[in-house]
Amino acid sequence: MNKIKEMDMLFGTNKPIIGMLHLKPLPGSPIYDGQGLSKVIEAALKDAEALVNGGVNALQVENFNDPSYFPNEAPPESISALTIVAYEVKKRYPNIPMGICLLADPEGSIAIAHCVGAQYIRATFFTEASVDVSGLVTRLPHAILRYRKFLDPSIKIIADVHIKHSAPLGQRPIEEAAYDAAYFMADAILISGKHTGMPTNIEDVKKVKKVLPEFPIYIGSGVNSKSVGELFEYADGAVCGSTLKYDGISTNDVDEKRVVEFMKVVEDIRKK
Amino acid sequence: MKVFEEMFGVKIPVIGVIHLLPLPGAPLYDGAKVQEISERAVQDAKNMADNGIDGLIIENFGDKMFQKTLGPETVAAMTYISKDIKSEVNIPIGICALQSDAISSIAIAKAVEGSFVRIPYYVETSIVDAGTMESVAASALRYRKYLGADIKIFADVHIKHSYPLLQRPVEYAAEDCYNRGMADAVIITGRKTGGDTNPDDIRRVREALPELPLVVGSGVTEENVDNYISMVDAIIIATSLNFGGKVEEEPDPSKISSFMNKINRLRLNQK
Repeated sequence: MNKIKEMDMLFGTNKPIIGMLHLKPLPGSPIYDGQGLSKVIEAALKDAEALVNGGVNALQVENFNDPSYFPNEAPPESISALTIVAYEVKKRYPNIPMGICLLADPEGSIAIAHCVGAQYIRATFFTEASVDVSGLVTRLPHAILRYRKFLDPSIKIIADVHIKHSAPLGQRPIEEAAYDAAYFMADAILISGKHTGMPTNIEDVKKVKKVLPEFPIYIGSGVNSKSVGELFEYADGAVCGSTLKYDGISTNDVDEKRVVEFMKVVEDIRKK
Repeated sequence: MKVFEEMFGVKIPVIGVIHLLPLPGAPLYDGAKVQEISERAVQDAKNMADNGIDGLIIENFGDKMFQKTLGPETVAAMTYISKDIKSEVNIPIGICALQSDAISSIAIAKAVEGSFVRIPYYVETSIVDAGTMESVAASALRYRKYLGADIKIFADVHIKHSYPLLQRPVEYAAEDCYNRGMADAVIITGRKTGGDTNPDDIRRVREALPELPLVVGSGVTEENVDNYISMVDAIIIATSLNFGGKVEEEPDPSKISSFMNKINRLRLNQK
């Protein structure tokens, strides 16, 4: 079985759509409101309900509102808070596959995923040392892979290459970066545009797919009902945030109507 | 003492310790799901709360040898379990992340709405089996302020299983812990888990610092509690309430209720 089918099985469909749960600011975040976690949980459950009712295939829990992000290791208050919110979502939707994205700490994400029973993590940086707004991001895939083996080998890693809001230190074609991430045991590759919500360049997707035809390539930003058709000629799935929200704005709540409409377009593509 | 009466609603509260089974990543972890470990902990917690215990400390007791700084797997697992306990029992809970990770303890307590943390090595530098433990008070106090956490710090002095580098009377260490370290309560223990606390240690601290919120932290039993009750403001207990008085056994409901009956009688005689 190739990796694409393996991931399709995890999500229960081909061309899976992963719905983003962008959490409200968590304790310690520069924009945290000091009101405790109950409102954060409430908002996450509300978004989760809209995403699940609308038919997405997985939920990805991310501390999106804790900018700027710790470049290598997240602090314990973020781990604790994300654990609680993910736990509450998992309790409500035990049968929906879940991913954890603790920005930007893959080991912390693996720890949380194991405890709450999530199936995968998204590693925003995996095999690329990069510069982003927080400074140098020097990911250690050797440590991440050993930590996964040590704690829970069942957890999949969806890894970004040339991720938005950053520049890789090694300037080379995206397909070479993607090939390395796959070679060094990522379970899927995520390709994004320049910023959250911005379109992913179809040429990037084509180039990566050409070198990794049997490997799952997912779209990480800017997918919408207009672009998904063309992107899915090459890509095997997508992580969707902004486009499923009211007015397509990343900081708004999830709009169930938009989810339904988007998933209808995806369903039609899957049947082809 | 005010700090205890406000938190627990009784004079001389009895705080039970929930000894967690080995958590993911620990040398003795057996592969159980965190959910299963949590179920056992919740059962112990309910058992204690239903039989009259006034508060709980949740401790990663099964994770020996302990790390000075928790890995994320332990922060996540302790958060998960503490959250479960908090939603199942109606008494104040506190966190103790062994070896003595004050930062993680405060982070977890904040996230699960805990009321306090226990910090075994707080204002002393000690030699222990894990190496050298250093004072964490300065960073713990700042981290608590940074998180805006209304969490009390219960700190040990001359804690069991350790050898303080500065050899001085326990009451001097307690004074520094309270006045300089700004601990909200000071805990005195014996030499090991379940080992008797020397009543003379308690007496010396009590006489030197009458206003100090003072806790006896190990080896209290139904038989010997009379030796401490007139001098302390709170009691931490675990081992002697377990089946067979063994640390690895589960709490015994009849022992707990019998102990709490005696405490309730003794409380009436205290001023």
